[in-house]
Amino acid sequence: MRASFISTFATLRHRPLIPRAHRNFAAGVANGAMFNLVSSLTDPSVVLVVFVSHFTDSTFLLGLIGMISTAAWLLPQLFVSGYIQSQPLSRPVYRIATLVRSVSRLLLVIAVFTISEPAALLIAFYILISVEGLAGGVGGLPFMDMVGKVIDPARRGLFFSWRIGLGGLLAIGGGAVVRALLDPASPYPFPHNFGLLFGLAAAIAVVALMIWLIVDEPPVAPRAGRSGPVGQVKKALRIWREDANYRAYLQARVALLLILVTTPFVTVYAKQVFDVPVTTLAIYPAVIAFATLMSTAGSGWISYRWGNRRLIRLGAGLGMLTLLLVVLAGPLNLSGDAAGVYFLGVFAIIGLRDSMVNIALAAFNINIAPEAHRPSTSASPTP
Amino acid sequence: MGVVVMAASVMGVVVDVVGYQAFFLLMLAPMVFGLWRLRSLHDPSAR
Repeated sequence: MRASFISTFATLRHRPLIPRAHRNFAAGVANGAMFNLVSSLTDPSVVLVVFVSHFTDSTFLLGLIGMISTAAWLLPQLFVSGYIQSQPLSRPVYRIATLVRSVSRLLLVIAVFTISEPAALLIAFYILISVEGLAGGVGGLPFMDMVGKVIDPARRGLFFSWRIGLGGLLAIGGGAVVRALLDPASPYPFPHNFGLLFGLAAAIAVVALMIWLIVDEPPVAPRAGRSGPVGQVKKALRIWREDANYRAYLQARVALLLILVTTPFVTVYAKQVFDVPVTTLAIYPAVIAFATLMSTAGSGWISYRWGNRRLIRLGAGLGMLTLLLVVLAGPLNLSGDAAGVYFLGVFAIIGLRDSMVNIALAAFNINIAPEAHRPSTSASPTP
Repeated sequence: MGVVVMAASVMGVVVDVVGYQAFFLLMLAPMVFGLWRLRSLHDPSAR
């Protein structure tokens, strides 16, 4: 009897309170949902553009923000993919990326509160968002690799749905915080209102990154020999030459993704030409998040029912519609609040567009990427 | 891919040169090209 009790107690003592699979799943959902909230607080297309527009009207500098956030995510994947394939664990790379991202976010908050010279603050801002973005790109691949290891294939759809769904709800709340802090009546004047916004985003991002580090990642045998960026480029060029289908996909993908980098210019256009109030601009990230949330289920259904090509066509059609609507705003002679409502509709369509294009391109990528080269070619299309 | 996106950072300069409205109309061109390339793509998910 006593031996049996001790045996049962020992078993319970070594059994985790929450099963490992559930803990990994919950950690990933919390990480994704919190990062959606961070994205709404520091949306590159709206919040960061409005911040920089306080210092300059340069369309190059304003447009550069969106480019940095996209390119910084994609570029490091070329350098990291070969290394990740040769390692048993991805977590060490993710941990380093987490540290760099956390420090750069913290430094940005310090910069906003301490640097009073506009040129110096802008230089610090661009350097720090570049470093944070590059570290995000470095961490992106190990993250996806860890998801592949710890989330059961049958539950991955559910996993990403929870991340997007819960994240969308949090992002709508984040939009309310952005609006309150950027309101001219806010007790925090510029640039301290942005400093608080960046600080809040930094705190949530650090917690989100730390949460993903609690995941139990099983070690695996190295899947390929270590290859550097030159080897990866050579491999990519060989696939480009030999696989006509993948070449057509890449050409279509690059062309269609260019629509995503026009979004910051829509914000600048609305603010500079139509005098849309900052308090209205501050709602747009929440509008995009809400539209993305609403369209996610529909996009999944269209992809399943009609195929990814039709989903991309629909997304591209919406992309062309947004461009035409933005151009049409000129002849309509809108301004102030009326223009704000008009562009609210434009940003809702942008949210639908981004969701459709991203889901279809990601699914297409996995479907048509050559099997043997999938780890090198299946990088996520956008952050 | 990243290099292509980075190269797109010249868009700001394009906006300064041609203006916003012409820029947004110009951006229709890559969409049309992307849709055209999509036609020749084999879609394994099509039903």
